[in-house]
Amino acid sequence: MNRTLAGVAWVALYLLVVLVPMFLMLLPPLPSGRTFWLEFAVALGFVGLIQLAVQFVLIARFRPLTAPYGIDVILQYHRQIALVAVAVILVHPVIIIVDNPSRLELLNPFGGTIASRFGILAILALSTLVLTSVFRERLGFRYEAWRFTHLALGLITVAFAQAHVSLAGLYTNAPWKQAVWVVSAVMMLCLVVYLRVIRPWRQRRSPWQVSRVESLPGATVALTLEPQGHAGMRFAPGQFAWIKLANSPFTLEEHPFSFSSSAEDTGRLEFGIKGLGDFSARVGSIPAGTTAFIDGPHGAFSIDRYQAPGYVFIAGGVGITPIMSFLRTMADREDPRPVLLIYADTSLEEMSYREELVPLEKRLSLAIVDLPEKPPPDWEGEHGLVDADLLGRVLPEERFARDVFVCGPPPMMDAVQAALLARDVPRERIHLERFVLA
Amino acid sequence: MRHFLANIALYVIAAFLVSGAALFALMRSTQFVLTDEETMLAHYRPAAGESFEWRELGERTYVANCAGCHGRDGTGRDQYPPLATAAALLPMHGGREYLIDLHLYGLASARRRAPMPPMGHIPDVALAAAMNHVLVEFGQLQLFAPAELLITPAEIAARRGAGIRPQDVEQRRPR
Repeated sequence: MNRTLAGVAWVALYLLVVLVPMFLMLLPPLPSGRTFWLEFAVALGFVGLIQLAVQFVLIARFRPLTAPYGIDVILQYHRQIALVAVAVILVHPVIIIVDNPSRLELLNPFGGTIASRFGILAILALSTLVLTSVFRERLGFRYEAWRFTHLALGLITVAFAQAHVSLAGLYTNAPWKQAVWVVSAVMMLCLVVYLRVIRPWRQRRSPWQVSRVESLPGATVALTLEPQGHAGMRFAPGQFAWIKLANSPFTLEEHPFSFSSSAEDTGRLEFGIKGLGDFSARVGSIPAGTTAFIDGPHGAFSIDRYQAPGYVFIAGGVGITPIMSFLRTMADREDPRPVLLIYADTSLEEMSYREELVPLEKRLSLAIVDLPEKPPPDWEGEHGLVDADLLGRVLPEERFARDVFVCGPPPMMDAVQAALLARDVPRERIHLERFVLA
Repeated sequence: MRHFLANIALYVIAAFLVSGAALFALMRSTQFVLTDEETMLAHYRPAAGESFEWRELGERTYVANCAGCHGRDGTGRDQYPPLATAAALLPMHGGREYLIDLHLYGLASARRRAPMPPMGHIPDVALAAAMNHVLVEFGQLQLFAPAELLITPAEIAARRGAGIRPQDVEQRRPR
């Protein structure tokens, strides 16, 4: 199906899923209506609960759902709409109490009703979840531990919130109305089982093996995986996959990395991994022969998705990895289209793939601008940051026709996007990879 | 471009969700009036010298407004009190007024953790009928008081508009 149509269809389905259970509550048997603000508070609670449950759909990595948008956009939405849902859920009790202050007693954990106690517990779990996610790095929370906590708190929150709705009882005054809420909440929680049990179960049949671990400059490791008893994986250049390095696929420890190898070679996958996080710092010491499982390919950051008469690739640091995949794939395909690569990093020594780029320059119509932020004393090329001035000097004349792919740290991508827009590159030609998935 | 559209979509969707909730509240607060409530209640309102036929209306009003907390059979649950001895208050001095006020203005009491919400939005006829339903069906009215002590719509109307706070209603409880 057409990607745009699919994208619109999913959004429509999503809005239906969030609002239909609430509007089903308008069917008889109907309790007597109350004031607008009280009913509004209740409705916000309903919307908040379903939105929390939908969060589990967003992270389930359903390829039909994520493909129209790109999974990085879906995960960004997961984070942003979570804040909306939390706001809505916190407003829910506030309006109820402002509407009638004697209801303050419901906030007393030793008083109130059983329903109100479940509500309080759900809000406590939810607040912990949000705080540990937003401030994970500042709290010094390890990624793997956070991931487990996040999942557990998410399940607890939805379970408690569902108990709150079931027991509060005003709108759940008929068995089928109870069922509407319980079934929709449980269905979405089941996606956790899909992601954490069924998906790994399927992965068992297609294991991979680490065949090579090569150290590159700039504390980067090229990890090569080869399929064990299966045909391998077909991916589009620029995509990424979640990798588990363990003997069993049922581990929570998995990390997303971009393919850096050619998409034409499905039987040998290479990933470029920079020692930034606690896992990626350990990757260099992984012995060849280690078993691996791959969930992928994911992502919409691909030249195959946006055909153009030529490309501009702008890489910042380890953001070069998907772009290596672009270039290697284009070389294997003997793609004649012109490419400009701006390779930015703190210094020349940090640039992990400078050597690998040399042979590609001969096989492709490729112009490379190495852009060290701190150049060596004898450096005569460009240096500094990717800004409008630099783009004005290096961008080709036909910049309006080319598609621009930017991958790097988030602040750099924001700055580069602003600079590109300032240089009259149309917004629809700029493609970013928001690679902060944690 | 994808991220730009996604940001716009976020605001649109968030606005859509909140307006959905507002629409729901609007529909509920205007109550889906399928028949004119006045016409329906006029059928039950006793004319002068006529007896008050409260049973059908009382049960319906009770189920719609009270059963959620006090239970269909008035046994209460958890923080919500049972209504079994409600009629005992009726013959006491100030008891009738107290019972009517706690329905009209709500009740916040240290004896019970959950407050009784005000039910003043229920019309006189329906509220009187529901109270009678409670007094007779669960409150054992026949043990405490003669049947002529049943609540009439006119009594409810007389106690409206006093603007009493739920905590003050508790002070009026006969002891």
